[in-house]
Amino acid sequence: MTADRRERLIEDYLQGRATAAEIRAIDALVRDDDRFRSTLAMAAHDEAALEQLCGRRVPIAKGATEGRGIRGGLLAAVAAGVAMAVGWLWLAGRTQPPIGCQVVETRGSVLLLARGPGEEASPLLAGDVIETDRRIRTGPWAAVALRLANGTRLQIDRASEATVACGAQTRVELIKGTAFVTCDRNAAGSAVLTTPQASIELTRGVASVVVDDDRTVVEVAAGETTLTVLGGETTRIAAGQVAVVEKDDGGAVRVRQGRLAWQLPDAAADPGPAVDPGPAVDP
Amino acid sequence: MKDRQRFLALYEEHGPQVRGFLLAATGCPHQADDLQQNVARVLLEKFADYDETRPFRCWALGIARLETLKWRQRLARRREVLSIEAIDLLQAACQDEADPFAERRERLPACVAALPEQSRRLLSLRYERGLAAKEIAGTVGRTAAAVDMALSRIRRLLRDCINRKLNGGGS
Repeated sequence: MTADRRERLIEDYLQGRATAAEIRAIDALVRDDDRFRSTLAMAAHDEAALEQLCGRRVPIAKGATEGRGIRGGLLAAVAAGVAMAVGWLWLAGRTQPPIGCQVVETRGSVLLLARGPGEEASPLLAGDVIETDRRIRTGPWAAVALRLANGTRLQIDRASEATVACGAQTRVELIKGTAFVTCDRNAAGSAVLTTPQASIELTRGVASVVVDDDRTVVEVAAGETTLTVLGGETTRIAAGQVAVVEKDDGGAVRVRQGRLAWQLPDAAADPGPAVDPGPAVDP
Repeated sequence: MKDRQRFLALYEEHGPQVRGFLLAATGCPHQADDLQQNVARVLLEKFADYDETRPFRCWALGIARLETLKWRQRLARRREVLSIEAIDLLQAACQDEADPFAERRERLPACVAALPEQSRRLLSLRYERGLAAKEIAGTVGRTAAAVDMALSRIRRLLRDCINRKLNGGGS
């Protein structure tokens, strides 16, 4: 291998552009070739020194110091001091238990999408922990169940795409598809789910959100949610209600509300056909 | 009891070595960011246990190695990553001398200052503002591939410049 080829290999590797075959080649070279190893270590260090010289700043997660005990607050304050003093240090004010999204279960093809060029999408598997804000895509027959940092449970259903905040804040952006959110007594604080049309905050309860064809459909099975049309009105949606956020013929975004046209059968009751409880919205 | 200022001073001094090791071990700036966050948190939490008779750099790199091995265990089944042996060898390469890269760091600012204005602007967009090649391309009116190539060339120029200075050459 020529010196130029080695240099390109190191450059691509450090910039996150190396292919699997190239990473295997680098692994072999690091193990067997002292000179290559020291060149790689030197190039990586030069890159780190350049980052520091240019004062690269990675922001501390907003709200990282909120809602913590005295020990957590002190730790976060120290962390903030470190992050300000050391340009490239990235601290999200983590305390125990660790912040992150735990993948509880997956079905079918579920991908953690790349954050930028040079990084490949990787499959998500049960037991994985996501530690930053990441975009997740589910295949046509796939789904993933997550437990977010504050205890909120989130299921992203098939053919969906969502960005999930796995840091100190619990925030989900549903870009398309369906998500089910459960925010029970074990969850700390509320869960906020945004769509291209609205922001939905669930403090306690169970809700599903569907994004399709420029509209958002919110169905609340239990508890109560607050729905805010982006740049517009705020509406409360109680259990058993559905709201549809969409544009009317004039192009204005509006909210239609009604009762759900279906009910889950009660296990103790006659499993007969559900009765339409009243004026319903056809989502 | 160690105070915060002591930790900040030590971390500022030795941080680039930790970052350099993480970049070399992961081969990805984003993964290195994630790991760096973990390493910084662990260092901060365990600073009270740090034995000051040992070099801080070795202690920090030891924790960086452990965090990297945990990361590797999580990822090895689904993507190509360096072997444990390679990661250990890279860690050794970072700490087998007093500070093998200190002199390189000292010479870097002069080499950056000697770059043409356009190159320094590209460095600023990439490293100061943290923009990706595609975003820089939109700012400077070039393609992302051209930006990548230009940044690669600048990094090579800086490496050559540092090496020349270390070997007693001028600018």
